[in-house]
Amino acid sequence: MTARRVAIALAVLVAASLLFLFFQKQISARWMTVPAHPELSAVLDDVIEDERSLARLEPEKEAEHRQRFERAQLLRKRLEILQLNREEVTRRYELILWAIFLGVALLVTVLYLLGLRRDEARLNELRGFLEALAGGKGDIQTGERKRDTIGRIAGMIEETSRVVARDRNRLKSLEHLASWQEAARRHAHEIRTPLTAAKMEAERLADLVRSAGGGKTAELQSGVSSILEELERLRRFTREFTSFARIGQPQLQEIDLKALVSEYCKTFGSAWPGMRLAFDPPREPFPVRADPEMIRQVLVNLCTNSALALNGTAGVMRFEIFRQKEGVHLRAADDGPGIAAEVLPRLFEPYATTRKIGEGMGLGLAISRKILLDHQGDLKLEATSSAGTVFRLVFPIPHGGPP
Amino acid sequence: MILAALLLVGELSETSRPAVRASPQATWEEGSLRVRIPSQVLLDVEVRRVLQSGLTVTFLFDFAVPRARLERHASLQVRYEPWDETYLTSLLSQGQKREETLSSFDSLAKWWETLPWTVPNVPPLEGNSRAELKITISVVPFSATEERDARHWFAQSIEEPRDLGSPPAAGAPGAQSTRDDMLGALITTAIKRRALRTFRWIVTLPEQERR
Repeated sequence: MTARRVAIALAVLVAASLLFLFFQKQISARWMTVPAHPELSAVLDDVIEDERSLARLEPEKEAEHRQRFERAQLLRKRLEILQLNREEVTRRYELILWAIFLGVALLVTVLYLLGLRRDEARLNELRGFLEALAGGKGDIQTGERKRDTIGRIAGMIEETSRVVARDRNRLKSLEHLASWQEAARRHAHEIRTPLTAAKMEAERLADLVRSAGGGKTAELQSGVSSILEELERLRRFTREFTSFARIGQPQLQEIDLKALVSEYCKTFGSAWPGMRLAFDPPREPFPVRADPEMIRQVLVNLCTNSALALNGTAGVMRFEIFRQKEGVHLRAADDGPGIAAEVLPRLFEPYATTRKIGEGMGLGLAISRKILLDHQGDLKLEATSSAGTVFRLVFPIPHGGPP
Repeated sequence: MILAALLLVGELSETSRPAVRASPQATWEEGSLRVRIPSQVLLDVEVRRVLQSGLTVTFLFDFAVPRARLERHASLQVRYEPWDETYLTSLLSQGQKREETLSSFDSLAKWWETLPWTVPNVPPLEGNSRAELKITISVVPFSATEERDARHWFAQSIEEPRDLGSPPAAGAPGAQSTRDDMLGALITTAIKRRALRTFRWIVTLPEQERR
């Protein structure tokens, strides 16, 4: 709190007091002239004189006239006393009004200065939070509850810090996935070259066995076929690696998420035996900027995971779309057995899977999250239990869209 | 006893109203000072007005002989009774009270001049210079009883008018009354007995008689 502000507040207080004093003097000096008006005393003098004269003229009513006389005389004396003290009474009246005004003004000034001091302290506190924000701290809680200007600034700092934290997490995840992608790309490259050579040699060997003939031909052909099958399995494995390593950037376009999910449910409704897709489309459209092919791929990944978890038993995957503060949300909830607890900490990391060797590499969720992160959104696990698992796809609201 | 020539040193009225020109006279009488004060005090415009209003006017007399470190006080109350057109007086001096009823203002003035104000037991005044008697008369225009009555009446006049027959308003019945009482007290205490006029004389005393 600066001395200048205090000085200004006090100057305003003094000026207001003087102005009040000046104007109230103009008013209060006049009201006392009414009871002390000389005409009043003159009329009372006449009444007193009249009553006394009447008492002489009507002796039988003397008591009555005397009573009236006494009343008038009493009032005359009181007015005289008031007249004698007029200036003092007026001054006292002014003093009381002025004291009340000054008291209220002082109270207001003190409250104002206290408010200034408190705001100054709050601003200093906010400065600390801003420095922390500038230093990269995320998820800042200022503890401000008021909704005044400073409170709103505090809210903005909290919001910004949340965005910073979210972006940092997103960046970290993307970096993490990028390193995995690079590793996958290198592994695929290293495997693909010898794999191609081995496959060619195996095929040439098969041709040689066929053309050479002989007693062991069938046995040799069976061996070569087995080698080729294993090489094919290795090729598919390498292709999965490659597909993870080559996740492209989404080709964003404005689409209606509701229409996309409806169409997806129609197209893929019978893709997984035993699993039903359910979607109750809302009335209004849900425009988002997204790559429809990639989002379909994410939905396929989620459904595939659910179908594998159901392991042939009947189940339902339900979709729900709604809007929240930070974006449009697509909820995908199955009624499967849930995700094993030991996987949860690494759920979105590549190769996090409980499946047996050869039944999948656990890249589906990693790829799906990468796609959503590339959309400036996110893929989150909302809940999982023995009653089912709920994933949530978050899409940012496109600029100019509804809040 | 030699009648000393009384010298008016100055009439020091505190206001700028027309001065009372006649001056008091002081003489020695058996070791006491006898003082006569002119009735012109009663003729002062303001004094006469309040006298005729029917209020109880009090004249407070202070006599002081500084060289003897002596002070004496007396008071005179005068109230005009307009029904009978008489003046009721009550003199309190040297522990004695004396009451008179006078039939007119002239009678009052005459009676005033006969009042034998006494400053008793003045000790021998040492030194060569002439001694002085300081006389102060303060005119208080109304009595303490009249002050109380006027305050009460004024307090009732400025209170919020209300029907005395109806019950107090709901809410905070005591708060309103307390506030009225407080404001009433603050304003009405401005009505106070204070001197309407003050007359002062310094009279040079004649040479003190030898005892």
